[in-house]
Amino acid sequence: MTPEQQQIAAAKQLGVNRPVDEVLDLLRGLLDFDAGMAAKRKKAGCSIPLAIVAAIISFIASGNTSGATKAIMVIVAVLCIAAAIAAVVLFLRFRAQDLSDNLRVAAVPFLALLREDMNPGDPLHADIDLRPYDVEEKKKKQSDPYKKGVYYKIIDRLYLDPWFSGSVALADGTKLHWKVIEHVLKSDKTKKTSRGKIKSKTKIKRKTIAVVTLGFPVKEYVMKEAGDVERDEKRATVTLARKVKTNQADSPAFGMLVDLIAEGYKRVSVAREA
Amino acid sequence: MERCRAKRGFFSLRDCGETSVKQCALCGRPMCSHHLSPMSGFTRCLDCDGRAAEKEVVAQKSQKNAPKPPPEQPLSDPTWSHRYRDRYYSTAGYAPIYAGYYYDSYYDRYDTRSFDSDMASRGPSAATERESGTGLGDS
Repeated sequence: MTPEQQQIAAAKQLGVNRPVDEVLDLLRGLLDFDAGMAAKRKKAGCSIPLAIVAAIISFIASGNTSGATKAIMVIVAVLCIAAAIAAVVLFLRFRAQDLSDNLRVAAVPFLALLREDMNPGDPLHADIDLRPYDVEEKKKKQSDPYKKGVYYKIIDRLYLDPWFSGSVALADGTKLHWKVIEHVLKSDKTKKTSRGKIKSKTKIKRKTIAVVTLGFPVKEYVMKEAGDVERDEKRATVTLARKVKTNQADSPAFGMLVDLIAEGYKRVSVAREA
Repeated sequence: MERCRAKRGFFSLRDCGETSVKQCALCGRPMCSHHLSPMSGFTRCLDCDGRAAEKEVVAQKSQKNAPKPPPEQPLSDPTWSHRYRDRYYSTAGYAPIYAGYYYDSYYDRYDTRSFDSDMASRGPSAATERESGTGLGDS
């Protein structure tokens, strides 16, 4: 990664105003970094239970042996515990460097698609918050533990994540602004099974709000309908918004933004005169 | 020298118009270096390669127990935007605005708005001869 990419990955904030291809190059490096971190995190995560199991087996084996073998088994067990601790530390460190999945599932495809509608070299302004939605700074509310049904303890946390905004002038002269805000309700539920085991699970409910403003140049386009359109000498501006509720882990922002812009374009027809 | 016949854009389409360097081995259209697919060794255009890849994915999806297709790579797959364009136009029923001048039957499957066959055959000058003067009109 370049020093700039390293800085962005560390701060997890991207604020750029530069040619779209440069922005995408920047994001390509960040995606590779995130994929690399995810692979390392997976390895570290898998190593933890393996090291613990190996430590337990070594301890049991040391109890059933004597002499030098016993000493070796104890050393192996201690090494396995050390390996487990190291794996936990590495796992936590890699997890702290994790970038939000929104980058991969929404921001990158959206910007890659926008590039098709831009002139090469035209600047793109984008602000992307690469922190996952469940960081402390984004937490707005937390409920006290409460009971419901079989769950004896439920804690709800509400996060507000305005993670993606930007603006661009498209090749046809249309000015586009967009903004994505997500409200995520995360519920940690704990119950006791009939066999006495304690089981926990986490459920999320995601409400994604996307707002798109399109300023169509009046020389090129005519609005088909008059409603909700701001006009000046140069532009007819329309603002469109959509709200989608889902319980999926991935943000639906990409599809929402594309649909909203398409909806805006459906409202105009060409007014060009040669 | 012939001009590239690819159409750029997603929400609105426009002519590429760059100088062509080669003909696509599948559709035979002249293409610029930007619109030739590196994955085919620059022998096919991004449209043809994208359509072929999309067909493969659709065929795979229709098979039972087919392996999950690999995740899409918008940045490393140069055909991605062409594939997505094809898919979106057909599934969402979006009719893009065509802001170019040159008709190409290759894109007949796109229900473009504003295309004017008169202008296609005679070039941009046809627009000035139009009676209404309100543009290209929806198809």
